[in-house]
Amino acid sequence: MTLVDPDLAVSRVLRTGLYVSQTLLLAGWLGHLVDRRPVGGVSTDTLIGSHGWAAAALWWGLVLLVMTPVARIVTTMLAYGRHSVSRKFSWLALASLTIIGAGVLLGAAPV
Amino acid sequence: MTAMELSVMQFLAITAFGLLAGGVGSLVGLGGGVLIVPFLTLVMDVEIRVAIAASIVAVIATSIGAASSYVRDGLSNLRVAIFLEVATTLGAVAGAMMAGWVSARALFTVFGVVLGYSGVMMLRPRRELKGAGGWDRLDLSGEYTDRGKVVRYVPHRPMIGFSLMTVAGLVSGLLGIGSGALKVPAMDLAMRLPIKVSTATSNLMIGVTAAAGAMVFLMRGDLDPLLATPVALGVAAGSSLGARLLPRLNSTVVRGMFVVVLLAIAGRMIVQGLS
Repeated sequence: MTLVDPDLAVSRVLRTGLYVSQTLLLAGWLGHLVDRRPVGGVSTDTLIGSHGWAAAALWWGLVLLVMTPVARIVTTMLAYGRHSVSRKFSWLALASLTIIGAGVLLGAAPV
Repeated sequence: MTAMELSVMQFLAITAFGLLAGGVGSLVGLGGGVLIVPFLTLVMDVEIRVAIAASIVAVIATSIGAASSYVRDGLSNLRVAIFLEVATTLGAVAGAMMAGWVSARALFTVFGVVLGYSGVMMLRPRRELKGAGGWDRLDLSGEYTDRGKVVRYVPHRPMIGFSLMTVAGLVSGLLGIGSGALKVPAMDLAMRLPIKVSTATSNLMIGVTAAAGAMVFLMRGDLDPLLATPVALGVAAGSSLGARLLPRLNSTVVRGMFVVVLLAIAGRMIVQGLS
C-alpha cells in the first residue's frame, strides 16, 4: 500500500480546488459581460449550461469553491486512513464530516 | 444595488478590497468577513443578507488560498486542526440550532468582553506552565521553519483547547460570526501553540465550518454568483499573498496585528450588543 503524505495531499487538493474554481469564476464573469443573460439560481439546468456557458461556469466555480474544504476533509480521512499509527485522525475527520452533514441536513448554518 | 448591476469598475473595486481583506485575514487567522460585510453593505450598498452570503464565500476563499501554502510549508498543523474541528463543528451546529433561544445582544456583549480580555492577555508575556507539560498522546506536536530556524513545539492542555473550541463553535453558530477570533486565542493562550501556527491552523479550520454554512446559503438561494465572484477572486489572491508574507514576519508583529484586529472586533461586538 502506498503511503501518502497527508500534508502534501491536502495542499494539492486545496491548490487544485482554488485554481479550478477561480478560473471558472473569472471565465464565467467575463463571459457574462458578453452574454448578459440572467444567471439564475443554482440548479441542474444551470449547471449543464441551459442558461448559457457563463452562468454554468459561475455556478460550477462557486460549487467547487464551497466543496473544496469538504474535499480536504475527505482527503485527510483517506490519507491518514492509510497510516496505521495515525488512523485515529481518519476517524476524527469522519466525525467532523458527519457532524457537518447532519448540520446541513438540519438546515443549521454554522459559520 | 443588486449584484446584477455591477459595472467593471465596481467589480474591480470589490476585487481590490477583497485583496486587502484576504491579505489581512490570512495573516491573522480570520476569514475577512468582518471587513467584507461592512464594505459591501456600507460602501457598495448591497443588501445585508446577500453580503453575508458573499462573505462566507470570502471566508472559504481565504481559508483555501492561505491554507494551501501553510499546510505545504508546515505552518498549519493538520493533526491539531482535525482534532479541534470535531469540537468546532459540533459547537457550531448546536449553536446554529439554538439560535433564537438566547439573547443575541447579551451574547455579543459578553463575547465582546471575552475577546477584549483575550486580546489583553495575548499582549502579556507568557509564563511557563507548571505541571502541564506537552501532552502528546494524540501525536499533535509539530515543527516549522521560522526565518531559517526550525521551531519544535508540543501543544499543552489539548482537552482545555478542545473545550474552548466547542464554545467557539457554539458562539459562531449562535451569532453567525466567523470563529477565527476565538480559535486563535484558544490555541495561543490555552494550548500554547506558536502564534504563527495558531493563525495558520485557524485559517485551515475556518474553511470547513464556512463551507457548511455556505451550503445552507446556496440551498436557500441567498448566494449571488455575480457578487461572490469578485469577492472570491480578490480574497483568494490576497490570502495567497499573505501566506507568502507570514513566514517572513516576526512573531511579535503577527501577534500585535492579531491583537489590534481582535480588539477592534471586540469593540464592535460590545457596541452591537449594547445598541
